[in-house]
Amino acid sequence: MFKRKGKFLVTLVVLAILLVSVNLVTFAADELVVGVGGWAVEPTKRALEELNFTEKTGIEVTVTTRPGSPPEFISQMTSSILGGQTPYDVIDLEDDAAINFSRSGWLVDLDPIYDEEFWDDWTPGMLEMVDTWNRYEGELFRIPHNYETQYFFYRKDILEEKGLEVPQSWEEMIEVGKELTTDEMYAFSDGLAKGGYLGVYVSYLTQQAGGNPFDFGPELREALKFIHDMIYEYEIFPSSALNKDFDQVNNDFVNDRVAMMRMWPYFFDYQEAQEDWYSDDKVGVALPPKGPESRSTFVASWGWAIPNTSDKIDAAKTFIEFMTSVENAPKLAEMNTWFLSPRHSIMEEINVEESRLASNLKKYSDAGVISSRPFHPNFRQASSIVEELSSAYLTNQISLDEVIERGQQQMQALEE
Amino acid sequence: MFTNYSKLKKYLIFAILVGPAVLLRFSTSLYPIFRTIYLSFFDHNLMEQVHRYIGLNNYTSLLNDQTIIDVIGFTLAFITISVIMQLVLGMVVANLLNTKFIGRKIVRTLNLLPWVIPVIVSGYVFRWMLNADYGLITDWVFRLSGKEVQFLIDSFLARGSLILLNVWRNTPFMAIVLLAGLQSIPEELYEAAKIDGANWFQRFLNITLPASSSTIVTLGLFNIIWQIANIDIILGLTQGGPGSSTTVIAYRIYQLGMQWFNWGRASALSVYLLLIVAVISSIALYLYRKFEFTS
Repeated sequence: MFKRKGKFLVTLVVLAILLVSVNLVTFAADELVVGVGGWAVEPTKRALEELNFTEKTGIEVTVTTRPGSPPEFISQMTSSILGGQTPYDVIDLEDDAAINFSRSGWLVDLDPIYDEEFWDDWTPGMLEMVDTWNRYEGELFRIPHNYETQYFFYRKDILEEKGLEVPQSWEEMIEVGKELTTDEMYAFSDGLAKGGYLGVYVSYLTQQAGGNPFDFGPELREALKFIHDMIYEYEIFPSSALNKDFDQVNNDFVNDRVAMMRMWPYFFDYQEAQEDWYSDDKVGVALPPKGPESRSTFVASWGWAIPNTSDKIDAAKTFIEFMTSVENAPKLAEMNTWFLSPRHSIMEEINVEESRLASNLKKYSDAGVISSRPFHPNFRQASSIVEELSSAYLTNQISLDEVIERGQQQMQALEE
Repeated sequence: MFTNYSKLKKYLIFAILVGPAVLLRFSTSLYPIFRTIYLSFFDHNLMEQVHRYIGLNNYTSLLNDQTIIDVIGFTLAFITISVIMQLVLGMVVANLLNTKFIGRKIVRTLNLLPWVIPVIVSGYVFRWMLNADYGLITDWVFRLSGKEVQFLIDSFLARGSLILLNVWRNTPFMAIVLLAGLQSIPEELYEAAKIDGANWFQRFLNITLPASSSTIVTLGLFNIIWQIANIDIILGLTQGGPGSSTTVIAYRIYQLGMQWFNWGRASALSVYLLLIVAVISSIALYLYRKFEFTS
């Protein structure tokens, strides 16, 4: 009897010691945890090392991967923040999640970090983006570290070989598309899967048609009809794209299955990483083909934010100040395009001609085709409505009339 | 006095022993239910930071939304077809596993493999296997039929794929539970039936099925409830698409609550789901009692 009791007590003591040790270790971990997308982990680590962040500030940093897909990431953060905790002290946030978190009052105001002089480094276009996508009720909840627009990539070699010009309008896309499409290659493709991909392309085309997708107006109708026609009537766009994300489309492009595509700037790095495939003569970047109204392409951004449940807010502010300072921003942009934006300090320091991304950003900017991203105060749900109905139409489940009717009803319910 | 003290002591011990369990049950089950019902009458949105009483508005607006009606329709189809197929196939597999053959123990263990794979992993694996360009299953179908089938893009095929994946995953568990029931049926009954000239189908119909009826109904009831809460398989395989063709109520609640922060509407939809569960459970319990009595 005593033996059993003794064993029980020993087990209890061991468990208690283990529990206390685990807690001590947890509390001892005084490092600032920075959550970034998987693709940005190494660039961020390298940047911190090369800029001697820890030496200069005395702050140890752990850079870790946060879920890349907005729905997954939002779910993770919601349960964590509502429980009074956070897995990250600093987060690299995309537009979708930033809007959700700021409206929920979960992000720290970053305005006190910056003085007025700091903003002189920002172009008017960037300041407009900051006001729309990064401020809520006057407070700065996120500070962008990049300024990403979407580019129109095409296979220079194939177009030259077939004696074709880069399409300049939607009509020309159809004509050139018919010439380019073969059994092995489609003329165009894009990531049209639900979950933050389809909504981008639909918004991009709706803007070119002169509208905002969240209005569910004639411009959205025109954009959807255009995609539908490319897929089913002219067969120049693969229907399999309806289940693809951007990575899969990039993969198709570098495997010679697609001749042209709209894509985010990370493709610049991606294509250059395909050493056996890539050459300067192979891929070109053109201005977007003009839609019924314009040839605009909108910008999106990623930026730093601090959850208000972090217990290292001061250190987190120091980190953000360091990463966005006028002194460090150009160095970071030179290290990796993930930190590239048209801030004056960056454009002055960086060799625009040498950087493919910077030169194309300048080309797009000079042509005046860069526009603001269509905004909705309830961006995540509004985007899901657009995606869900667009997907239903593009997979032939409902008609265009139903898309518009249901969309307007759902948006009205959302706004009520 | 002594008796009263003794009684009091008994009650005290009872309260100490039962109290934590009751508290736990209350906090994890009853409180969330009441809280959900309460929130369903409010415009409660984390993003808008509002908490405003709106009566039945959440309920009526949900019913005016054609997408939600479609979602409810698919949920019922998903549950009904999945449960029936799982029980029927589970019974077939259980009968096969109940026969005597070499390596029976290994086969019984192998049978459980699909069930032990985490649901979300199964979902993602099959998403790749059914991929229109690179999928293994798509390739097999192409080699056999010469047709390029887009399993996850055609809404009918996406629904079918989802249901079949769900059946593939859950049937082994059904089979094992049904097998336990089969093993409790006395062998003499089958021997007597054989002497009376009954063939295997007659033996199955007149002995196996009645003797397993209470297990089938119990399993069916639990299975229905599990299927109602089944969202990870959808998250992994289709994310509710194309369109909203494979969205079930539970997945929509997850979207409304955890992605769009619209807790009022999410709560109202949860209450609808609760009602559906209550109706189905009542019918199933009635059937359970009936079959238990018969058997």
